[in-house]
Amino acid sequence: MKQQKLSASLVAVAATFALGVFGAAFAGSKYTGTGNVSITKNADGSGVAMGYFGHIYNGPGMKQWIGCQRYDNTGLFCHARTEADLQASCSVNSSFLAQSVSSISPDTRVTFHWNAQGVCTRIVVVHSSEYQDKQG
Amino acid sequence: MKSSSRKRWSGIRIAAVAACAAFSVAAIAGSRYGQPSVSIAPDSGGGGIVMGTLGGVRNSASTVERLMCSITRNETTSSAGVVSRFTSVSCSARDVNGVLASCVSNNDAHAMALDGASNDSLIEFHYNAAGKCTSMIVYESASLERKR
Repeated sequence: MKQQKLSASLVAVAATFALGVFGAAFAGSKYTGTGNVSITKNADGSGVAMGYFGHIYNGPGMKQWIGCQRYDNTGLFCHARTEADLQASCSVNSSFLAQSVSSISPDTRVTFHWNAQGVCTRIVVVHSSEYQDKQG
Repeated sequence: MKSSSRKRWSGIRIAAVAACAAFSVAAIAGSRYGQPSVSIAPDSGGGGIVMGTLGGVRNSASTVERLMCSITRNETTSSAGVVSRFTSVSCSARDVNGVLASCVSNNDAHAMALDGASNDSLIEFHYNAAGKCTSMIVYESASLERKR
């Protein structure tokens, strides 16, 4: 009898733990937008581009992309393309801004800004439980 | 003193994560851990500690929970060649009860810590009564639950 109670307790503990590990229905708060690449260009040539890596990768779009690379000489290059074939890019020689590439992962939202000369001036990287991870 | 005490607690929590991961070895292939919820632990001084995994929070049964951190780096050069830079970090969380916690920081060290974050990280941030981030911890492990 005592052993049965112990077994039931163990099952309950295991079930609770399994629920904790796997979650009940994968229903945490989600970002509900498309996550598509958006590019805004100002009249003076400056602008901003933004995209959600996981959403773009998993989505139906076939043309869009967004990415950044850093060089071993402190250089940084970012570029993006929308589904409507609008393209943008920027570059800068800045180890400070290039450091941001280290924070980019397959589920991040990345935004980069450039000035009228096409020099990258700002990078924003957002990690969130609400954003999709790349699948497949 | 307060800071070192908090760091000790962080170590204990991360050790607990590792212990849970070890416990799960027998049940599934490969040890995995995903704290199912964001935990927000306010302190009596108006500050507090937030901890959660990006995967565990996304996969949780609650539809209101979230955890996010943003890292902004800005650099401009004036016509005189003067370079000005700023770093901005912002973190926020909402737990299963809808309780919110957030903080902001201009500390480069906090941004550098978040540079180590990936798609399945455990993120812990400490904040004070003024809403400033006072500590940033990113934990990576083979056992952390991935996003679904």
